[in-house]
Amino acid sequence: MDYLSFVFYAFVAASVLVYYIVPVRFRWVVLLAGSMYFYCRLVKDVRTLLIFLVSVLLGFAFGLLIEKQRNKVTLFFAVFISLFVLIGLRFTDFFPAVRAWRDGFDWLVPVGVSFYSLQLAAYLADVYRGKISAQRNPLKFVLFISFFPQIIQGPVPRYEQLGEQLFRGNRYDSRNIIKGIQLIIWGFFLKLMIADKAAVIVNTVFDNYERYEGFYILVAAVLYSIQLYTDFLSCVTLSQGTAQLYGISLVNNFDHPYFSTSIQEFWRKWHMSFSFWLRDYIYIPLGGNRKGKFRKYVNLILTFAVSGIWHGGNLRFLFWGILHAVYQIVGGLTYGVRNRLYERAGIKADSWFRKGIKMFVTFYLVMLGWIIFRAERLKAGIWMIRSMFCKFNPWIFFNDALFKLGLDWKECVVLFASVVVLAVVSFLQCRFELREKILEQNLVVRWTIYLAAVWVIWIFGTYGYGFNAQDFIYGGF
Amino acid sequence: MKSGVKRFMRNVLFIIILVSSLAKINQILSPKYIYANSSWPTTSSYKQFYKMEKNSIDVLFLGSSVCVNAFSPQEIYNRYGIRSYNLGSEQQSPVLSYYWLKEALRFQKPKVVVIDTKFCYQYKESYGLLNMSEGLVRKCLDPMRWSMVKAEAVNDICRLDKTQSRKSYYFTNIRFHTRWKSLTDYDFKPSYFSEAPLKGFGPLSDMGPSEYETFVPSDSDARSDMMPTMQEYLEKTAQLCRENQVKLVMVNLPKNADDDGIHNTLTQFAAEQGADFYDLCEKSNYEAIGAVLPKESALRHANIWGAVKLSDYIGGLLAETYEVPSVEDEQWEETKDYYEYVKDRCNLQFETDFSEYLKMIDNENFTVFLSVKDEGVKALTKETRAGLRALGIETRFKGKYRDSFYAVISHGEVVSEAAGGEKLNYAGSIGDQALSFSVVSAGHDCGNVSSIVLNGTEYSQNKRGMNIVVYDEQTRKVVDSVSFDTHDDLKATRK
Repeated sequence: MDYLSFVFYAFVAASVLVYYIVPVRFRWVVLLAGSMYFYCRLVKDVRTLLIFLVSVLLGFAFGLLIEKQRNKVTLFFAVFISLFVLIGLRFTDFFPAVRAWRDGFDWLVPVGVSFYSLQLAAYLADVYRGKISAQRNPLKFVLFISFFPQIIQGPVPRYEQLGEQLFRGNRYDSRNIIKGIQLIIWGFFLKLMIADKAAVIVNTVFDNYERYEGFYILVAAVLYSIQLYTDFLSCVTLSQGTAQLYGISLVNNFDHPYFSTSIQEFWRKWHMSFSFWLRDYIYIPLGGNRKGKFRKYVNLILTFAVSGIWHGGNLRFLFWGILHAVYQIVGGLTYGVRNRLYERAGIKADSWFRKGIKMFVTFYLVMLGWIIFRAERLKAGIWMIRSMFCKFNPWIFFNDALFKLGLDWKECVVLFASVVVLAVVSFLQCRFELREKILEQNLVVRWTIYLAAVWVIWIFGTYGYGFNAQDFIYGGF
Repeated sequence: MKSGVKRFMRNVLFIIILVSSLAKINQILSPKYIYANSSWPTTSSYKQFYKMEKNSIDVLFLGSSVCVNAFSPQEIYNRYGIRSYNLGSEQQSPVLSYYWLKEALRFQKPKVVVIDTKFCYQYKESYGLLNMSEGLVRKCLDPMRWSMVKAEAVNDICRLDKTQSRKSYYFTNIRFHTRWKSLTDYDFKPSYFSEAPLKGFGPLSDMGPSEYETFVPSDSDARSDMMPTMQEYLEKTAQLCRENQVKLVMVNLPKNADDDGIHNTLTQFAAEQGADFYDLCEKSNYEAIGAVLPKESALRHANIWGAVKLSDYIGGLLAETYEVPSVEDEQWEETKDYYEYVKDRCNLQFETDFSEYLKMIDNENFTVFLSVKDEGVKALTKETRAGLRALGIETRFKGKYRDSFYAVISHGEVVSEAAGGEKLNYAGSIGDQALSFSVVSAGHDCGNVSSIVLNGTEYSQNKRGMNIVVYDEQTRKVVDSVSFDTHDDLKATRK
């Protein structure tokens, strides 16, 4: 039962109906029952469910204990236990023999462990810091961790932001239903019109990288950058849309990251819930930028190394994570030099041209990192980057070669048009709250937008026979 | 409260608009198999079936593509007045035959059901228990209207073939939405795919082999078991026939299975089920058909001349052995002319008399392109001039020795014609942009060439005289290209 399936939305429709029928003070119970049902449908083995529940209840118990006796040892022990399965998973990833052995015991790894482990750790740290009070109802705590729209792929919620919304019971408001449906339609558009379509070409090149050189790599890298963003964004959007139906707002996970003008800014806008978790629970506790420049750089490297390993226990992800730390370090060291270069060239600080250059360079650096991220091995990723710079084959843009990578020209046109729509929507979202703007329009305009969106996805989407809507990329973490 | 009701009504209206628009989109995206794109046009055949008056069909034909090509309901009606309908389709196995019979019995009370037995035996291992490819299952089942019968069929099919998706039958966009890349004019016009004057018959016009060695049963002990699923559904079909007082007739069409084991097994099966079995591969039965090779091929996929013989044979059986009555029915009367046009269309490629040829191409369903090369008038006779005038051509050919000449005739009207001492060119398109063409004619002294290009392909014989290309609007194919030597002896030449 995934977020794209008919069964999932039939389940959501039924649970929303029950939610608003049941008295307000029991509505959290409906959410809990729904979340447990959803989780049981995901897991293949009852032992996995037990491990999940034990982890959650241990987190609950530790929360109460930490609130009672606020000491660091208890906190570290509790956080370690919360992260134990995730750490074990990532650690064993580095050893192929161990990983092979572990694969025979996949029931040991609960669904969503990469996300709910962070959620538990953040909760325990916040209780320790006195930011929040420990939850005293174990069932409510289970709901907070297992809330089904965000258990698989986040966003990683904070207790102070999500808890109250889950437990108070929300009154029916038709605007929540409409906004939720708007988000769900937009999520489907991102996934089926962009992410999965781009994936066809990306997979062709990356899975046969030795056959493709030069500009093929560039095209695939750009498309992967788009694919990864829209895939992840679609999942979060679907989660937000589903939660909105119950009157619950999940945090945004993206803020138009490819409009960023620096790597620092990029990480404030990409996978925000995870970035802020790293900042609040790794970078700042390590000292952040408060202990001098050298320590700051060391803390950056450690933080982004953790980020890399969180994505996967192998050299490729570790390299990718540290690469982003290096980007920021070099960016910091060359800041003055770059400013002087701009001044010499007569490019004003607030000009669109300078902003454009910075956006382009930022995107390019991020894209290089994504090549490593997506490649099957670190060596392959480096080989592809080298090939991209060393082989010159611009004729592939003129001799229809690009239409032989899995998408014919008509599908490429659809993909391009969809990316343009995304760009326009992103641009508008920077200026105003687009969903509210749509709701302000008259009935004919609103219905035309909704109908057109559904029709376009229905006709041109990448699904069904001949396509298998790709599993969400971040569902694997 | 009032605003709540208003909001509720608005939401209901939105849902209605959404659902009906998506249903319409699915209808457009679903593939349509019509004579223009298939020799076994299930979409139009099955849609036409639903339009037939209730209880007006006395005989149903079921089975695979060989059955579609073998039995012409119009031929049977013309000769015996028997009202029949051909519900066959490509690779139709007994599973789909059973469900189409069950569906047909909701609207019709046939006296006899004739079923071809080709797919009782395994066709390809990869096709699994259904003994049909997924695409052809869809081709057969998708045109069936939704009812408990279809729901049951979908369930059974997905049970037998686990690779198929039940959802894709209900939401056909899952299966077919990628067709947006190849939509054509007939996807948007229901009139193109909802009529089948031939009532399920699929005419072919290829020549057959020069000989056929018939089968003489020799080993009465040999047995060849049917595929278990096929036997199961054939038994269900027999049971259904018994319950509805319908006579079941099984046929093994010529050259489908010349085999003692199959012959004996099917004979025994028929006897056990109270059905009759005719093995048309058998010498005596085949000779009774009276088809003369190579033109009258009743073998495997019978051509139209073979189908005429097979239809005559089966019609005789139906009339004499099963006493199916002769009834005058307007539904078959009104399609007689159409059937004649189909036969003319198939016979066109054999006609060598110019005068006769001009009469045959005088048909609204043809678009005719004429182009003279070298010399086009010296040998014209009074009859051939009259024939050209009958087509609507106004050019007076007197004094046009070695002149260029072309004409384009569509839907019985001359679209363009010209004659003169210079090279002539004309280009255009016909029929909602489906056919683009260019015609060139150059007489002896101004180029000496004939060219007739349709959708980028050259069809003219480019021989001395009048070069003619006939395009059929129904099948959207070129049905003949010929040149008549109008300078010398009006001899017909075809490459």
